[in-house]
Amino acid sequence: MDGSADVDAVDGDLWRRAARGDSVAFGVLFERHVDTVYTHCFRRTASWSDAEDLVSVVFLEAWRRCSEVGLDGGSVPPWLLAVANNVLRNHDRSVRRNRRLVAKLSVLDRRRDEIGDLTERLGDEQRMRGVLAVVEQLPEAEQDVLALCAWAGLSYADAAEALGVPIGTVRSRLSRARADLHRRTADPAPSAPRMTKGDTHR
Amino acid sequence: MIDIEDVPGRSMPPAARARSLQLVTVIHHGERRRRRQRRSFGVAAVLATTVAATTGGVAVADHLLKPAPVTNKGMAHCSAVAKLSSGNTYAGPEIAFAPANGNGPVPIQNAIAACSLPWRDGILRAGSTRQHTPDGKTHPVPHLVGCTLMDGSAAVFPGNAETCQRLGLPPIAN
Repeated sequence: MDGSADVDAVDGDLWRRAARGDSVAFGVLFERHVDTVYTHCFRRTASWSDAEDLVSVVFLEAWRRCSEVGLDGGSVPPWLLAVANNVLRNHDRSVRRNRRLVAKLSVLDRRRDEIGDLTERLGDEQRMRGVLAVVEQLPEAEQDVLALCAWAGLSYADAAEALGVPIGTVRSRLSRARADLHRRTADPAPSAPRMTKGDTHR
Repeated sequence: MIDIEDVPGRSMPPAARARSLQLVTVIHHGERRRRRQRRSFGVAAVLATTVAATTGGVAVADHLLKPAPVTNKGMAHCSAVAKLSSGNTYAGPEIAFAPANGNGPVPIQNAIAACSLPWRDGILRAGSTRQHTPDGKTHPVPHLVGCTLMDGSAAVFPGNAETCQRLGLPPIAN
């Protein structure tokens, strides 16, 4: 198969070829979905640097397991994000392990990206830490639904597939999460003037 | 007030992206190779206990990356060192053949043959990452191997049958 056909191939075909060890097919899937995984990992960690490490862990785990998972007409992102959610539960350990591997492998490229938008990236991290400080007060299951539907833009059906729950559960968790977040982040209503000690009504 | 639904998103920077794919490919293929070797050793052990005479004939299969065709034939990357510069892209010297009529590059049908030319002219020299000035002499050409980069172009290195695999790249398909 020539390279242009690889680029046009649907996820399911590439997935089956990757499961047989075809690194070209896996490379096309990687290029196609890496930014989705990268951004998802950033939004759950508020660290671009950790997100880079987690991308490797997620795709490695995905490739290890792709022979076990059939994608009958399905798309890859829900499954990748499900793997990412599992990896993120052991986020610190995954990042440490990946950094040890990178340090050990002598064939890896050591070139660093010239980050022209460093200030903006630092701003992203600060903003995301503020968001996570609120979101992490939600139950973990609601955080997962919020990240998949509201942030990654998955449909209810895709999120249900990723989480292994019925669509109705996704809907209700998202609705609860949004209502809860609205309560937590809404400007507090102006409170009635309180009397302090010594105040008297005349 | 924090807008919970308006969250940042970006593309992964190119070098980090290339390094990540290279890391995943190298580790995955290493794991597959070890699994195949373990299975082969297991088969060998069973055979040894039942048909002792056959044990010597059990070969340990070595998994190699599936060869990939070169689809970008406008140029080839020729390197004197079997090492990648940027993940599975290569930032070293490129070779391209311009036609006499000036209508764009001539497709390189055989990247190894094309890359043997700078070796022969002494532009590439073993172990050196820089390009040398031709001295008019004919230089020895080492054994060269061709691998396929992610952009579909060929990268040619001095090495052996395992070089592409070690770099996490598929060898060029015939």
